[in-house]
Amino acid sequence: MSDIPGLIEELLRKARESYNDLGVPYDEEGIRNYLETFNDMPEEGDFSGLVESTGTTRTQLSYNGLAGGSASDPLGDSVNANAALGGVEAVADELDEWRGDAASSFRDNVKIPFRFAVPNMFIAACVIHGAATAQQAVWREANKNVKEILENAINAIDSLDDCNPDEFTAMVTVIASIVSIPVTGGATGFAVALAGVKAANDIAKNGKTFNTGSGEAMNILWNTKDALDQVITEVNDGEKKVKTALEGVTGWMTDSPQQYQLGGRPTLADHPGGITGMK
Amino acid sequence: MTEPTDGEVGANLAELYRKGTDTLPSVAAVFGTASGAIKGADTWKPFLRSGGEVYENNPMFPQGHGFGSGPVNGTGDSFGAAIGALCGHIATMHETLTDCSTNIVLTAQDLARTDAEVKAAFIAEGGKL
Repeated sequence: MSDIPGLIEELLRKARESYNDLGVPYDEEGIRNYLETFNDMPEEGDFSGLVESTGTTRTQLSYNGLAGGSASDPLGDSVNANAALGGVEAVADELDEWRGDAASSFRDNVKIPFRFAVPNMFIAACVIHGAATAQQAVWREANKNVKEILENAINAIDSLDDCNPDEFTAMVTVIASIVSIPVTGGATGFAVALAGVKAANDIAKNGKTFNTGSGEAMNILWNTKDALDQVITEVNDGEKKVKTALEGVTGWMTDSPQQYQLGGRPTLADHPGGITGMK
Repeated sequence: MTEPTDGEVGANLAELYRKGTDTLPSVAAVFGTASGAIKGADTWKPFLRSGGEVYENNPMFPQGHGFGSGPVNGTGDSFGAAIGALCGHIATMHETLTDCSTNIVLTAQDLARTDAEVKAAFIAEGGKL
């Protein structure tokens, strides 16, 4: 559970006290309405299921034929190849020893298209998983940034009574928490170029900084609003990147379904038989 | 070219049978797991929530914008569409491979029944009728 609501209440109380000390009008309702926007933000943990599920799908679909090893994630991660998928080659090799329509149908409609259909599914799974990690990173940083901005505002107002009031600086790192990575690949003749996105590995010291300022509570609140507005802007920008990546891969999958499917339904999928003897 | 003996045919049918009972179902299971996992990704949907326009008409903050293009306004639907499209392809692959494995087993068994020596070799090599 986020502690942001508690910080908001504390900031409102301290701002109220500071305004009252000065004897100036204080529009608490207006400030409250704005700040309570941040009470309802999704948190990092809310996206754990999405990240985990899409990660499992990505791992299952990582295909590198019979060679095994690792599959090439277009977003740069290292993913172990799923050796079980090589079984299709083994089945096809066995059927190659037999004469008849069933054997050749399996080769033409399963063995050969499997080699591009599954890697294409893997690319799609990688893009979706990357988008999930980016989505999670955006909201993780948004929560972290908002919390720090609110804490800074509280500390700055506390400090107003000091002889030399302190100023506090927060860094907004939402958009720095994700990276865009062009995704290329796909089967020959069906090349794809997508705008992939994923969580950044390192976001330290990479963001826009905001100072609380000092002097009086109103000044601190306005600077706090500027910083929080930046969080909102960066969340929206991050969401747009995630959306763009997802729309790209969805278009690829829906516009060119043949890239993800077998060549046709093989004879052996519909009924037994079609094998006439050994070669 | 020498024709294979009945014993060799039976042994090869037993191998084909194993491909249908073990190998291909293992491949199909991969797509079953992948499909189950990607469907599980829907668990994030409860976190779609309303946002936007949170501080209009606010004397101190008269203009502004909320999380207008956040999870509510498009990103959630985009995840749903991408997951749905991939899920459909995975499901088709799973179904086809499962059907193939069933019919490979039936084919091997049918061929093994056509000749007593072939049948004996088939069973001796692990095939089941």
